[in-house]
Amino acid sequence: MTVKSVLNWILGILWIPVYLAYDLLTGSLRVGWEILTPGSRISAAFVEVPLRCRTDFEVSTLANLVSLTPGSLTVAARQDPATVWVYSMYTHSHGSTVRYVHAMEDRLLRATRPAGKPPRAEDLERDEGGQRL
Amino acid sequence: MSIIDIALAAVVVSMIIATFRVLRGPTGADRGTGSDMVFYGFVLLVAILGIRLETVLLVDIVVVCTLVGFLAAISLARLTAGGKR
Amino acid sequence: MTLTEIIGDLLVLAGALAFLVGAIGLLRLPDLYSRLNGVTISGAFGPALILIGLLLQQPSLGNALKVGLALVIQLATSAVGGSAMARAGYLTGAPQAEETRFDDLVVELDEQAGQEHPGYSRPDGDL
Repeated sequence: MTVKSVLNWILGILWIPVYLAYDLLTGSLRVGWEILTPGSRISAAFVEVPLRCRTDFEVSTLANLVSLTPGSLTVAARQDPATVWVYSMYTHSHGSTVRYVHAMEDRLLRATRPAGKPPRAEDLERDEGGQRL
Repeated sequence: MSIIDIALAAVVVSMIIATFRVLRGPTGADRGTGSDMVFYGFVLLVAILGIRLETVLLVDIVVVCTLVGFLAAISLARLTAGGKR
Repeated sequence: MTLTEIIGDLLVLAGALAFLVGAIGLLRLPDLYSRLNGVTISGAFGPALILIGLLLQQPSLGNALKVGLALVIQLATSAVGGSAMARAGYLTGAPQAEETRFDDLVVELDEQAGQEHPGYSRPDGDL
């Protein structure tokens, strides 16, 4: 643990509320627009997202952050191996939802791991359509 | 008729709509969602009333209400799910 | 009225209107899961605006602490409540809207129950 990584960790903790406020605002505007204008632009899906989180605290905090953003909702979570199932109201493809949750996980792990976050798993064993390989 | 009064009216209308969802269903989880919403409306009414009456005491009630509403939501969800986990 | 009081009033009004939008969503959105997203607006965004407005109306250190505490508790618990309700609905078979494109969770639950699942339940076409 170097000084730089500790600074990065503290900055990560301070950024979390900012990102949360931003997500809450943009998500609310998006879903509110969906509600107030006629017609339906919903293309919903339940997406399985494998995580790099390890402890209970990390998994439950990530599930909470996902649920807090209007437009996405955690339906189920598993500890070992860490996975969440996310209901997403606007799904372009399987991969886009996985990338969205992983971006949120990046910001969370930056705040919870003083030693720096582990690399992201490249092989998610899914193609773009969500088919198991 | 001030801005605060309009806000109170908007929250009350929302609670009536949420009550409609509680009555209508169709599933148990929908009813639970509606009653959750009615409770959030109640908490907000207390908070806005605190501004209207210009007293700081009602903020304490808001803090307690948010804690209690959590228990209500969880127990309703457990009740809806039956024995399944 | 001072400027902070006017801004506080407007924030309270915006929060109440956001709450109303969430309630209309409860009527208008097609299935339980999308309705829960509408409730997230009412349970997280609306209260956040109203509590900040409350703080601007009556600014003091004690109020700031209480409002901050209420905000953190409200944000954390509304998300947990929404997730619990979604899970309960899924386990009891709440119907999904036609717009639902695929469902990974049903595959997982089938595999846990020891059943084979024939691929994903998704419409053919443009994914």
